[in-house]
Amino acid sequence: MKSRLRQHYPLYLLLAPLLAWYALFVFKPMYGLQIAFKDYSVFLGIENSPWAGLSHFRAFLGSEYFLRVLKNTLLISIYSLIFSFPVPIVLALLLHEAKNVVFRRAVQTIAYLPHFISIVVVCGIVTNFLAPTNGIANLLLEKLGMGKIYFLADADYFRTIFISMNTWKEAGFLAIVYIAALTGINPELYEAAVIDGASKWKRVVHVTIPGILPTIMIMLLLKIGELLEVGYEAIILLYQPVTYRTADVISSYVYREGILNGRYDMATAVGLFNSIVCLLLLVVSNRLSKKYTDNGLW
Amino acid sequence: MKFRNKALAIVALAALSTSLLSACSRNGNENTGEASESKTPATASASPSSTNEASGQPQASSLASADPVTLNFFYHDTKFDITGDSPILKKAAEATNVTLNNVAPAGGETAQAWNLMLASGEIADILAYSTAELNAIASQGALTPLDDLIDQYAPNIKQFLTDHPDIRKSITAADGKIYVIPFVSDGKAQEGWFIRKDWLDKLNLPVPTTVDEYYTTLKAFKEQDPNGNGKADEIPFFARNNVTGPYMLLPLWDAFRGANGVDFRIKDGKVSFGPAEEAYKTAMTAIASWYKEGLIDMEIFTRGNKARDELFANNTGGSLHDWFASTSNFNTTAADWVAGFDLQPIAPPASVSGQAIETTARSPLTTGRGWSISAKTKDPVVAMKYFDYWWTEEGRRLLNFGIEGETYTMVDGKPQFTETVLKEPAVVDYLIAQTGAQIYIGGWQDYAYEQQWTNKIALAGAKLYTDNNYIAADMLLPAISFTAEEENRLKEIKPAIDTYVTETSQKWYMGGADPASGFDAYLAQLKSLGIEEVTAIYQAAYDRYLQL
Repeated sequence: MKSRLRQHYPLYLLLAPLLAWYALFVFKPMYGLQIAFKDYSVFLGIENSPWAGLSHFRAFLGSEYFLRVLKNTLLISIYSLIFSFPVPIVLALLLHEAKNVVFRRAVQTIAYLPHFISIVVVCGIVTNFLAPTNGIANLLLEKLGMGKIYFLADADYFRTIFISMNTWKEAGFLAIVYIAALTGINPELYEAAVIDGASKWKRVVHVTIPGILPTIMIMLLLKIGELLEVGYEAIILLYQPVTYRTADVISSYVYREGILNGRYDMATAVGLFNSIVCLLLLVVSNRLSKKYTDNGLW
Repeated sequence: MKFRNKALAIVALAALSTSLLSACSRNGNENTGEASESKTPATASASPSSTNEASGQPQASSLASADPVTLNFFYHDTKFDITGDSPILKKAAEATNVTLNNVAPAGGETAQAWNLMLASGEIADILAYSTAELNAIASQGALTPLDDLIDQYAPNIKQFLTDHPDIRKSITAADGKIYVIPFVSDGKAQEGWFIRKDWLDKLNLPVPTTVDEYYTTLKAFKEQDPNGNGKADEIPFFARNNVTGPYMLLPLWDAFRGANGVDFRIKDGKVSFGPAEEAYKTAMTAIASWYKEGLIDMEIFTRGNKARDELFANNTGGSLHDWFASTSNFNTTAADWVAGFDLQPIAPPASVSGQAIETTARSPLTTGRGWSISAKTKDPVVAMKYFDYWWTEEGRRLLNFGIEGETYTMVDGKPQFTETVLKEPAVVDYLIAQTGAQIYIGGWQDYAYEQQWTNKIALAGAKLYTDNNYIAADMLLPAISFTAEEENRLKEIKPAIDTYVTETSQKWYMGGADPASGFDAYLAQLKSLGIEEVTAIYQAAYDRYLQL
């Protein structure tokens, strides 16, 4: 052990900053988690605030809106897994099959550009696009002889709008991971398949997909680990009180009732609750994945 | 170079005068406060120009500190970047030796910036924010009580509070102390109803005076094509504020919702929750049918701040309820876009019970803003003296008119805005952006600043509202403050109620549900969310206010 340390010390040195980062930004803040169990006052500080037991958890779980925000969060996450998760994979496969290098590069660049646009701007574009009187979507509907729809004020459209927007914004960027995995597949496998007379489709199904399956599984597991974490930024930019029914998720609820009201203890309690649930989900799904696909995070 | 010489001269002068002052008062430290107290108002009122910085003779009495100090300052503005380098703060620094360093981030949401600062534990020395929130953190021991400091070091503020006991009452916290020096507005009328007079003339309609006539008018706007483009694209009623604007119609049915997130009002001497009154049901039913008929902008909840510019530019907006001054200005700006554009203020249409009332008022504390001194600050006396500077004649002029020679000049002893300022379409925005004047710090607004650029139409509108006593000031809840316990309860219960009320109301408004049939269930839900306790807390705070 000791000799290995000495022998490979440059590698361990490379690891050091990362460990320091973890210690400073992941483990040290955990100390602050205790405010989830306290009646936190910013002026008394973390240590001196009185203990409050599980009252914040009880307040959140017993809240009028708990079931609604939980349901909305889960539905948005699950629909994203179904409709949004496969898009970058398909995109990567298509790009991989494209013969013209210039075309492939161009499409790839254009597809991942939206990732770099601020979410505020993207939401602004979506709002303008869907505006009921002069939004392009409604002008099209009108030209087609259909009635105008006030998309952003109709709770039934919210999830579709939100998930489509995210897919458009992130698919190109997420595809990079899969494209990288695709280049790692041994070309000899393809050659062997061609010699065996496999069609293009067969090659995709039997060589390409199994080749990137580990990557897919890891991305999927990571996604499952974030099941309860639908970011609030895009939500609060797009929702209206009238669409709370489908749009209000845990994070936006915490933002409104916790952060804007300065109730950090309650916000922390919800965050902790989220993390515990996500950890459990991750452990379970990792075990399942190992059992059925031999792939796992650990 | 020139600046440095000037600065040097000031520092030298300051050092000299303070050493003189301290020499005089050495025999009795307690006298200093009283001496300057009796002195400042006298000099301020007798010879305002002598305190003027332009003469190069800063008075010792305006110095808050002998040595230049920098105090951290929290001031968040969603639109403008206010820093210690904002000209009026710089000017004040020259006069007082106190430089402010704004620690708030530029842009973003105000509440978030505020809470982040609190959570960081690094509380700025001077905090400019909403009075209610400041009093809330004061109850946790975060702020310095100002009563004694005002008595000793702030003669101008003291004088003002003695002259205005109502304001003193409103800024007094639940524990009986004062923690906040407020931004005091001047003038009475704030918002009113506006209608396109040229459209009325074109359709041969009289000015609507009742809710029924108003309905007929909006209906005519919708159906009779007053803009003459052959399409029914008119938007009879619209609003700029997408949170409170849509509810400006409520008084037409005697219903009420507050303009700043507090939906309580005074009814028969008691605190009453507007959205739980019977009138709210009637009002929402009527509004929903107006919305359905297209009399209200379909996008009223999403159109936002540019609504007036958009809808007047394309000649589709008909009527609205908005601020007098800025709305009247469209008579000038929109004249370029639309021939014959004529937007006139009208008296509030009488409600179903025959009352013509206006529920927005420019009460002295209408902005609900002010500033405080942190409990952690090193030298609260310096901060207090600095606060007082803004209440001297010089300081008040600085806050209202900006920089002499740049934004205003003195004409017959009175400040007069320059042509450049008066030509601006949005004078307040211009003043804030260019000089920092009119920011919400503890100070006293002077309506004269507004009168100069407010056009005649707006002045006539404001006069119409004040002369006829349309403004129902006695209905509005004064600024009240809560104890720490009450504050905690409110934080626990009120957010869910607010969410429920805004969500349900918007649903009713846009036709997603029927207010008439759903109202009882709505009341029951409000009750189970704890509206009775919230009302009781507001009542208790109001009772305390009455007893002060």
